[in-house]
Amino acid sequence: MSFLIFSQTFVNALLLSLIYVLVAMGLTLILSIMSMINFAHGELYMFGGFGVYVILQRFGYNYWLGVLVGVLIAVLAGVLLERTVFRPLRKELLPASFAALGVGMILQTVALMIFGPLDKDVPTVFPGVINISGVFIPMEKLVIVLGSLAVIGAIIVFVNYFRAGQALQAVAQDSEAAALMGININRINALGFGIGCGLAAVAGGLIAPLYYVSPYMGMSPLLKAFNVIIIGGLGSIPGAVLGSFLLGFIDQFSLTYLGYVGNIVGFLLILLFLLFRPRGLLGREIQMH
Amino acid sequence: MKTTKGFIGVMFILALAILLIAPSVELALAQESQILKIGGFNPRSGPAASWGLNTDRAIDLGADEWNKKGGVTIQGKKYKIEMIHEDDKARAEEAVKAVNKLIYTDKVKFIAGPMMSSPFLASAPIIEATKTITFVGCMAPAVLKDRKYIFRITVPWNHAAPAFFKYVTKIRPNLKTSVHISSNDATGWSSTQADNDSCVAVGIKVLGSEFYDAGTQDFTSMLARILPLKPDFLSFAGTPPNITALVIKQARELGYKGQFIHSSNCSPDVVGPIAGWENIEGMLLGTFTINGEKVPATVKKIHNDWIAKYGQENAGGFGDGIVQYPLIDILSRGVEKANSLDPDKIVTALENLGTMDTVFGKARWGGMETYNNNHQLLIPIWVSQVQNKKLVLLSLEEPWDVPPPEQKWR
Repeated sequence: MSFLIFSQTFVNALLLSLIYVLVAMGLTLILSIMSMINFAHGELYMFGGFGVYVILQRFGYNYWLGVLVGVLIAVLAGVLLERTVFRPLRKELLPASFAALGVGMILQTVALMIFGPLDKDVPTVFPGVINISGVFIPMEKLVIVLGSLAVIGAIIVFVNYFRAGQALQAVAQDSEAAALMGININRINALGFGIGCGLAAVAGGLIAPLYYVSPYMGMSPLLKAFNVIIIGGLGSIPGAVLGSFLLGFIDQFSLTYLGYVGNIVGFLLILLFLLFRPRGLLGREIQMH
Repeated sequence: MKTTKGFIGVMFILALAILLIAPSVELALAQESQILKIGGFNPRSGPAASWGLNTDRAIDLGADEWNKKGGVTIQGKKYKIEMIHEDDKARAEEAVKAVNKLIYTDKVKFIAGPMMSSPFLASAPIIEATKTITFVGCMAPAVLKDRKYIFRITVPWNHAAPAFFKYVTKIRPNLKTSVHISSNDATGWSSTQADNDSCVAVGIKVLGSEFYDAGTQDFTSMLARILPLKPDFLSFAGTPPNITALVIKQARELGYKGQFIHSSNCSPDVVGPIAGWENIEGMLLGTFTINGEKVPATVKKIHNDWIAKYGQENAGGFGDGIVQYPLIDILSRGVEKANSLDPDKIVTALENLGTMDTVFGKARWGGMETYNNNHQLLIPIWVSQVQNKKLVLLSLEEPWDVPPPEQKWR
């Protein structure tokens, strides 16, 4: 019986880690290129959730169309926000981060005005459960796994093999040197911010059928994403992936075997990282002004 | 001479003006004296806004009924009820601010409906010191303990749950074991205490209690620990409907075949779509409904009045807030019986109302053994069941005056 609990916990941890990856990757991308903490990330995650809710639940169209609409709106909102709010505050960590906090509050209030405070249900899109010798894997979570792997793969390919992706890396490493090499910093920043926001919306859209949709749905994933990038390292995409797996497994195993007391294990780990390795596993120093 | 004539002229005009104005001043004073101001404070913005707004709406509906009859009669004079609602944002400092405004600026003599324990407890000393008679809906025991001017209109878990589970053992004798799931906070601890104590009192074995932290959406690790215990049912009192729904959905995904019980108010219209209606068929809840042969006609009337006044169904489910509907009726009866606005006379009159006919059935005051006063309303609690996507009333049960003995569950 205990092996069964261990196996189920292992599978749950794997699924949870991939959810963390989805949310944390966009946040760390924005942090690496803009040197700001995007406190509005949770609200952009919400865009994905409401995209699915409106398209699937309200209009009865295809689920994937809902994800796409949510992502497109988030990308457009990201590009617009970068141009109007964050570009003038580039490399100004505190002002830009506080501006993001304000943007998040505005977006949340607008969502409240449009959709109201009650949680919105999204119907099960992929029903069924796979039972492997007593270990259960819900189909919905399996889709999230596949979706997450596809997104992680796409981002790795984009960043490493496309010119725009390589330019993103260059700006993240040293924006002034990148500018001297002829890279249009403004355009790359807008692209990076847009992709980061789009990633948040992908996460929100994929996770919507698993939970529910509300104007407050972004709060909890945002906190987890912060924890992940503290562990994985500021501004590092491979660090975000590694941090997600570490936190996902620690969260799941400690909660299963220690009960609600297990919640503190993840926070203890973060505390240890902040004290002894503040750059995280694969992080770098972020230039601050 | 000219001056004297001028003086007389001015005096004449003044006298005329006074004669003309006096009746309207008197009328205005008389009209003001015929208003009975009742204050209230609840969250009307923020995440808990829907609870607060629905509670206030239910109380307003109760006030409308008395105003339709002409108002409350005190010494032969009719007083129309005027409600003044303040927003405490579910925060203690806002509640204190609201109470100060209501008592010292608006001069209310009564407060109706606070439903959040923490904000209310912060304001309770002001309420007691100023002898402001207050009817509350919040559940913490400290709200009522040793109070003189505070009454509770809702039935808290420790009085309701034993009656609820006693009935459960009658209709589902096969349910012998349970695990309770609730939030890791004061609300969760007290609901766990009440549900588990009640289960033990009626012969159900409690296999465990689980607590989740705020913001949790993934319960698979918790369920991985619970499900090997094979409980006959999972109980959720005090858990919000959206969280209840997620736990049910994830429990079914992990192969759980048992039943679900939520002994407090929880709208199946929120739970069903998220958890899947097929997963909650037969679920038992302590929730109000308008479906079922046993639903009193008075309750159906409230539902119709609600839609007529507010234009739509209560978004959080019919039970959300409606539980405080009888508040104004009971308070008004107490005031009429006292035939005075003296708070001490009204308290005595309220305490001696005896058995009352309310819209939810016969009610009386109790709680002396637990709170050192008889300020706890013992009004029938609802046991309902989900049947074909509808909540149907199974029975109205009388709550226990003395809760079962407490055990340690954390």
